Amino acid sequence: MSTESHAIQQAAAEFIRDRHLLGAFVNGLLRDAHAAEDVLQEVWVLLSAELEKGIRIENQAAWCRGVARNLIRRHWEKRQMARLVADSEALEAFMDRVEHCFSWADTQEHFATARLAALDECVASLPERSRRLLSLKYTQRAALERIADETGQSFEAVKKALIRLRAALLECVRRKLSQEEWNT
Amino acid sequence: MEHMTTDELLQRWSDGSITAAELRELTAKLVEPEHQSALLDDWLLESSLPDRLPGASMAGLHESPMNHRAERSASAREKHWTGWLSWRPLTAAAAGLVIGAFSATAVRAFAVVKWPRVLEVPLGDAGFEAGSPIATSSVPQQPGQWSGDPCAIVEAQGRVRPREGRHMLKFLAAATTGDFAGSKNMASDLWQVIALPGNGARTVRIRAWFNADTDKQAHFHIAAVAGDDPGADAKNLWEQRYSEGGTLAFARSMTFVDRDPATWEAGELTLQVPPQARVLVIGIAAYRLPVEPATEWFPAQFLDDVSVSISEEVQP
Repeated sequence: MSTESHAIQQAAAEFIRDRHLLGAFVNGLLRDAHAAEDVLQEVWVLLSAELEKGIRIENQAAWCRGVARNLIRRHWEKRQMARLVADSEALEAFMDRVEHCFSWADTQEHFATARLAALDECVASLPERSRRLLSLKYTQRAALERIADETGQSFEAVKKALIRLRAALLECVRRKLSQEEWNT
Repeated sequence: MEHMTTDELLQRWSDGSITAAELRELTAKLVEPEHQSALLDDWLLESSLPDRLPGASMAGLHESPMNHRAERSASAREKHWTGWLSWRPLTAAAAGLVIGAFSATAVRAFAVVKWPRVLEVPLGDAGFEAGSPIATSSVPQQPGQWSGDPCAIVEAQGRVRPREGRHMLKFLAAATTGDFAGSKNMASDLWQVIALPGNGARTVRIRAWFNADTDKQAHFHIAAVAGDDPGADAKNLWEQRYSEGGTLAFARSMTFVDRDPATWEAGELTLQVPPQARVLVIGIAAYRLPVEPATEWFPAQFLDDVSVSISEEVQP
């Protein structure tokens, strides 16, 4: 096996390991799951291209976020998200701060995995009806109007229910994490 | 100004209603570790939820379209990722990377899945054995024929032999007209339109085999977009693929090939289409890193043995 392919294998392993945090970074900034998937793929393509050229990347997670940030900026410009781009100073400051948050998370052992394990437990404890609502929104990626149709609720009721469910899940994850900290 | 909590500000960021002043307020808050954690928790939850939820019946098929049961297992959520980026089992000498299907499918139907009926859908010249030249043009208007950017039907070339039969397709160039500016440096495209059989919600699987003989990075895409009107302009349908609501379903996958011209790598794409889907435009492209000038010939990148199958959900 060539050195190059070994480097790519290592990078891929690291990419897979860090996927949750990178995904959260990209998806959180873009707020568009489809576009986020495109950006993630492109980050990987660019990363592998750099490695193919024999370029060494010291901090892969930070490098990927930097590339993702540029791609996100380009996405916003392409979509002419005028309000966001117009206030680019505020946006840049926000992105810097977000980048700082994720750099800190990189240094925390099991940051994502602990939260995801807690999230699994929290999701499992939800009533079936709530899980279905979340599935429609997050797995099916259905629009709120369609969810309202499917569930026979009003648009506003669905919107509120989803906000409440999300908040409940966040609270549940935080509670489980603090419980774990207490236990250890 | 009325001050909001971090969660409220994050919610506003998330739904796109945040103002510049609120964004500055959120940024200022993020200096504090407590608020940093709030953002990380919130965004991690948002991006991870799709993989942590039990899907409706369609989602079960989405994970594993060829399964004979629509099952949701604990491993399904891992499959979602490993399909996206996974190490293929390769010979010790060759490492190929496949970035599998990720989809932006718009599935608008629910069905109780009893068993899937798998149909092979005939493609025009799927193995490029007919020897007929491929029209250099945009998306074809008729089913059953290829068209695309400049390409050639060739026999064995250098160290690359066809995967099946005597012929294979060689991508030659990225046409510089008729497409979005800047995108035609890297991709050499090929299209075929197919009429979709069946009436229910279906899972379409497209498979193609790729090879390359180059030291440069070469990868390939398979994409497919579904529409409801077989008489509609296929080019227009294709161009709508990224617009929300413009098509019934769209998905794309990417395949990296190894550096061994003796082996072919399979690329695969699965796409769920709703009952009203009647037509599918398949796009297969060879990709390279951007070059200057864009008219430079593609490195030796090949395609062979394309197949399409459909699993139709059969109602009891």
